[in-house]
Amino acid sequence: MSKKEKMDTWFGWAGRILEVDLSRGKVIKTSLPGDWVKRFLGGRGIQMKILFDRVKSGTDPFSPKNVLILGTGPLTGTMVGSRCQATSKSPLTGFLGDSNSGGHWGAELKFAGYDHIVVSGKSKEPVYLFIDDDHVEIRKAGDLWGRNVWETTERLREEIGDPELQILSIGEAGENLVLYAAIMNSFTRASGRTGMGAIMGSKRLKAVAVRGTRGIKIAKPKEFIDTVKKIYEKSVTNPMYQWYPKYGTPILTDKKAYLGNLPVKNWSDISIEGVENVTGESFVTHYVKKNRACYGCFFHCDHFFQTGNISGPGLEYEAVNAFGPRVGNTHFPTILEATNLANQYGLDVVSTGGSIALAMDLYERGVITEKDTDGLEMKWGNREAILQCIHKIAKREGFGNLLAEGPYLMAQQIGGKAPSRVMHFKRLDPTAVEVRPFKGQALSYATSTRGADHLRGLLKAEAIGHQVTMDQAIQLFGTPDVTDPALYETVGKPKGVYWYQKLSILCDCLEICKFNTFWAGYPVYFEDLGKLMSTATGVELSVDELERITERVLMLEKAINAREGYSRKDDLPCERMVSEPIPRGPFKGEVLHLEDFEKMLDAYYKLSGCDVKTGIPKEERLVAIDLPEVAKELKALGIFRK
Amino acid sequence: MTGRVKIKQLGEKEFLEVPLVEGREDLNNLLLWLSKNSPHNYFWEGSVIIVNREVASRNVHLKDGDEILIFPPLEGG
Repeated sequence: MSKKEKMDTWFGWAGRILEVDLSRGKVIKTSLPGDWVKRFLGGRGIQMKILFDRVKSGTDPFSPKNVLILGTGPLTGTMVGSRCQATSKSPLTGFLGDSNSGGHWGAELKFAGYDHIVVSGKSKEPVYLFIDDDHVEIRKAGDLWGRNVWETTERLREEIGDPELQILSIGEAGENLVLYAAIMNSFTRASGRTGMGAIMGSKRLKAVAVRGTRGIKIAKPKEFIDTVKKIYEKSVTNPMYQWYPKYGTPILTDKKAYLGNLPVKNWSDISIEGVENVTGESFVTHYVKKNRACYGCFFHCDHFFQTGNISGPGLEYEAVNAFGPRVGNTHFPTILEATNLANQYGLDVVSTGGSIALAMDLYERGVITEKDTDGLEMKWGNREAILQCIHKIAKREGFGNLLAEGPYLMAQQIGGKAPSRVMHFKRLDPTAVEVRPFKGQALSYATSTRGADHLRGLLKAEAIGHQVTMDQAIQLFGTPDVTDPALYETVGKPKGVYWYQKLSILCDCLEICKFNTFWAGYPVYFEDLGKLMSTATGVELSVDELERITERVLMLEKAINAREGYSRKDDLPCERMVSEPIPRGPFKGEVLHLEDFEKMLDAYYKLSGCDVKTGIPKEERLVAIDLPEVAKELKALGIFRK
Repeated sequence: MTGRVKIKQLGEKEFLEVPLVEGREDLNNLLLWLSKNSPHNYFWEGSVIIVNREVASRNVHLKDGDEILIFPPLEGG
């Protein structure tokens, strides 16, 4: 494919990018460069390329010079892809910001004929973007500003007179620049992590309403359908299919609570009295009304729930933990109410719960008092405190203004003992995975380019119980030791971390949900994903070539972070991970031993082509994987070690 | 051999009681038998097996009254 290739030759991809300059009120349609799809595939990969090219190092995330990139991948809108991606410089961490979500908006954007929207500048007044196939318009959103996500969605559908209109929007949290505000679509599907909603709010872009009727061209329809069927069969006949589709991710609470790795009370414990009330089994038995799926997904892990006058779609394990055990709460209706509030305000449930949990931890230890909390009694499990904090965070009101900074920055502002109570990697508070006992998974979190998050490449082969057989472990990672959580192992674990990081990148570039892949335990690997891609797009890539692309994306992301001051120290565990042992249960006494951990880190850097002293990709490595422009810029900035 | 064991996997409300007969006296054989004779598939390579509240290996010898829990390899957040 060449850069000048015409639109009607695109399969899988739509072939167009929308450039939206909010400072000038201009919209331009451009072609998707053919060399980009070959080098970065789509979704996360192409958006990282745009971020690298368009945002200079040191740019204030809330400056008009920062860009917000919204987009899709070649599988979005097909029978197996729903994901849409939001990318920018993060206001929460100062490194790259990136998060994707399911729902229906991504598919609709593809149907309208666009792969990505690049939003630059800043509007003088609140606006929303209206897209109806080729008709694209920046419209005033004065009467939407101040409304929550659900109201915005319903109001736009009503005003425009189209109940099928797909809306991506922010709530009050994004408007008020809460540093972990989410971008929402389909009411509850959130691009939650790293504060992309705050970037959207800083540009005064309230929503993107899309209607598309163009469909997506598939290069080899019969072969594509056959491949989808094969993957479907592999998935639904697999024992793993019994759990997630029925219970959703809340089932993880059941397992973690029993096995002693459930994050409880700001990561200070691993179990809590009454945990049986907040399990996946309890959720399905008492609150679920029916299943719900994202566009084109046979996994249908989402649910509609109801209790009393609280009802809605969209409850994940992360929300259960963040508003449940992590804040000392085992009252399920409170979790459901808190989740609805977060979804309506447009907040990342992980960082919202993480901020409240830290505040409760500090309150219980006497570091902060009711004088600091607007009179809120921040005791573990206090229902009113949990709910009031969410309101205050979204509005940046009183104590909420501090909580809105997220756990890391909030602790820095409080000072004293507060920073020592934070859990984080790269200033991002972790999703609800306890990694102290799992040395390889800790390496995954540490080297994740957006900070502590399992979705960037958790070493799933390592666990109590594991998703690979011993034969697979040897075949993939060279040793069965990769499956032993307790080992600081420098062959299989670094290799495994790197492999899962690449697998997650491939999913995020194609924009297929990880739950439709090997990620969830189904036997769907690089080969199957490559087959999906080639039959959808007509672009044939071998497994080696696919892995090469994912390595390129990973190194590009590390280079973006390097421009923002990243170094090896940002890949190390925080103070609590190395100093505070797990207090009880099967993993009692577990911490991360820094010296042993750093040996795994060294091996990971060598394997991936990064400088062992700095963690930054080497110049020759960048050139070798076809990132000469990145090598050139990092060299010009003096980032490479001499 | 006589006696019964109780077995339950993640998400199931009730324990299933299974007689301990010859050929099912170790856990691996019991799981294989269940995989052919139960509406659920109890056999999964990566599952965590808990016998009497302790992590157990697959070749553990079972005895009357043992309580078995199976956790499939669901991981992540």
